[in-house]
Amino acid sequence: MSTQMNSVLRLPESLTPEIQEISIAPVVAVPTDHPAGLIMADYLASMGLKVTLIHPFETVGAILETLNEEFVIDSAVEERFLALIARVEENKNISVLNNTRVSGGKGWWGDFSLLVDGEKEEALKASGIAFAYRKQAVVKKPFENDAIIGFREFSALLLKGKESITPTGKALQKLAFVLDLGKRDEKWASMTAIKLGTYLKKAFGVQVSILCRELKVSSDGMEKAYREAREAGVIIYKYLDEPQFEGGASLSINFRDTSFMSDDNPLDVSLEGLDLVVLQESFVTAEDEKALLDGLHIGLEGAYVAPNNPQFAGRTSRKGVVAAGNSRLPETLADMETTALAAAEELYQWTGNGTYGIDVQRVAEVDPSKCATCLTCYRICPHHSIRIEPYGERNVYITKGEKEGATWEAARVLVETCDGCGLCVSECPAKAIQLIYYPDMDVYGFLKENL
Amino acid sequence: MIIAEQKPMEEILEMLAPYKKILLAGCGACVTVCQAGGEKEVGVLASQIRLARKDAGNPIEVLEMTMTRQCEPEFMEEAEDAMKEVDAVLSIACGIGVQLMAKTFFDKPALPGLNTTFLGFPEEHGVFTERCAACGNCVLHLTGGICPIARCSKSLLNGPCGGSQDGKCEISPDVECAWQLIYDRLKALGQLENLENIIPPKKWITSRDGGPRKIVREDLRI
Amino acid sequence: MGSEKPKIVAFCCEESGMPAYEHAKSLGLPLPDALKVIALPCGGKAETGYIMKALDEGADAVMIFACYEGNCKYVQGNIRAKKRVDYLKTRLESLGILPEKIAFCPVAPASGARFAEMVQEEVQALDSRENKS
Repeated sequence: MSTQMNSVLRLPESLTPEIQEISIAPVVAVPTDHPAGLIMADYLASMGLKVTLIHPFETVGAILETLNEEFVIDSAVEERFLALIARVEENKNISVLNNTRVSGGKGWWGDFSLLVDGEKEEALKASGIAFAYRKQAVVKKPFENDAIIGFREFSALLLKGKESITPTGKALQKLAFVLDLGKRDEKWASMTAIKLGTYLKKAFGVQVSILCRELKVSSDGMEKAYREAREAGVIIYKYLDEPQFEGGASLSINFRDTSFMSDDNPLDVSLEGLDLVVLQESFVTAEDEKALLDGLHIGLEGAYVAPNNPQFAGRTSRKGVVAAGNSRLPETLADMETTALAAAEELYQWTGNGTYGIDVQRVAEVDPSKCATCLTCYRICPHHSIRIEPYGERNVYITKGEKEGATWEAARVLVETCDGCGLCVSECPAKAIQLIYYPDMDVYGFLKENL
Repeated sequence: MIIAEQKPMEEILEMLAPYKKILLAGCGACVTVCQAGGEKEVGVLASQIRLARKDAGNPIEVLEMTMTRQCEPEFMEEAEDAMKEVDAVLSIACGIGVQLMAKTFFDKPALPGLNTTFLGFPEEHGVFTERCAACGNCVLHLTGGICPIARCSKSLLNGPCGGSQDGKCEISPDVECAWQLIYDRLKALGQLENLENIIPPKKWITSRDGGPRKIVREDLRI
Repeated sequence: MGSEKPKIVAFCCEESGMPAYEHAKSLGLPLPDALKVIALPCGGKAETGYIMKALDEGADAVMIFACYEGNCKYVQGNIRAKKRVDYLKTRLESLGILPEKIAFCPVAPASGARFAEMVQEEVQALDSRENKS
């Protein structure tokens, strides 16, 4: 065995890149009700972009009012944020729309429009959008008890110091995390429970149990953290039916555990004398954010893409739209500020330069003679970059800009926002789409030659 | 749109057992849209057949073609040359396409690669549901635009049966009770009084009960 | 010269599989000589047709290296690829072909070791199957 012999087919570079210049006005909108929105507006304006800050409160200052609900802040932090407010209010590049809600959005990079309160006739135009909204954390307690809390509250307690880890004032000795009670596909709770659990066990000798339906450790770093947790003595249980809570002065949880046995042969477990139970809360998306995400075809999933490259922390699934604050995952103050800045920088790269060269070979193209207008590509495109003209116009598509006069009677890819991922190509049932720079024949030819 | 799904591989392979060279013919209309018989499926199925037969030590040659529409006699021309070369054609169009193939190429067996399932639409991408039973006598104007023939398990015409529970049909909690839907829709339209009109027993002669159906439009005939 | 078997085709996502392959190579980890690597802009570009064509042309196994769930740059490319693989496996099974011939392998861009490990696992699986038959 050697590593020299492998035949490799790499992504082709366009030999003669065909660059199309498009101009993008340096104008962005920041719909928000979260401090992260202020950070993004401040950064973008300082880079010379025209920013419209849209928020639902009476004053910009009100955006900060609930800062300490989410984060632990001291006077230094408060001062920093007050200075931020002052900068936002004074900056001439920022126009603020107070008392304004967002009810929808449409368009694409360079040509977004936002529907805002009462101005449906004349929607707000922007080349890019940076949004950040609060999410309300809902803890579904089985019954009222001070020792049952959510992750958000628990993180805040932890930051206050060891002495006040339990809200009841009792020293923390036995702790249980209960995950997957509501939504079951969120990774963050598994990660947080494992990391915090390991820390508490190692640093303070707290007896930690994690109850879940399925532990989401499907990434390299997490597998390691999971092993570490097991080695440290954190006990992980898997339940099928919802655990039963019993309360009073001492909390207990009863459930059937399936982690040691097979599913057919479960073990009844009773955790007793718990000082604290941390439940995975569910997060309610703000109405404005939901309207915005629906209108832009991003969806909640698209709002927190977690790419491999942490530099793209604020990226959403659509070009020219970035997110920060609770619109992404629950995070600490420092994370929130970093994400907001990264998101703003990302948007600056997309909207700050005026003109952009787009390589029109690095995109997908539809062969209109084969297209069955089945809408598969339109539905699957992560950038919502494929459009089909309404049937009333007999599916005739007049292209924008290049190839003047050409008509399509089919789906059409917008070159400006296509990222060349090829998802549409692989799903098209009529094989009517090809990546211009990387046609299927390249792959088929390679397979034929090398097998 | 006509919704179809691919037959199990075992069945397809059994059908093809006697043949050494076949044409695999897809269709560019409904079955492309419901992802059962378009050009992509032709390519994938052809590879699967070749692979299975090669593994079994009985290789088969598969020609691939996706016709514009297999339900129009004129488009049959597209397959003429290929049909001369092969022992049989495996059509992955709906049953209409298979039959037109059989009729056009009378001397070669036409085999169905799909099960033509129903008339419906994609409720979401990848989820297809039945909406029309082609009964030949539409009552949608009486039932709030929801078809009791296609969507009620018993095809009842005057309200639900006793098995309607929490808006679901008794055959499965995944099936919605059509009459619940009709009631809700009529209520929303303010037309609940429609329900007081009894729909008389349906004449099924316009449906399959009257034998094969035929429409002749003298004005259209050329 | 190395052996020409087993022929494994690896479809690699440009964001994760490709960097992992390069990493494995730079670490000098053993990879089969007959490993064919095909870069794709996204794991979701590994279409059913590609996978079937590779097997049809004579590959012993096809592996798809994509990002972990939740890490796809294109939101659901990796999930689409995984679903496709699962569907194809059921089809292969009914063809009388072992479904292990296709593997969906999530990998992080910096884990060349895991990449090599997964390829080795596949090689061993193929070997033990060969010995059985």
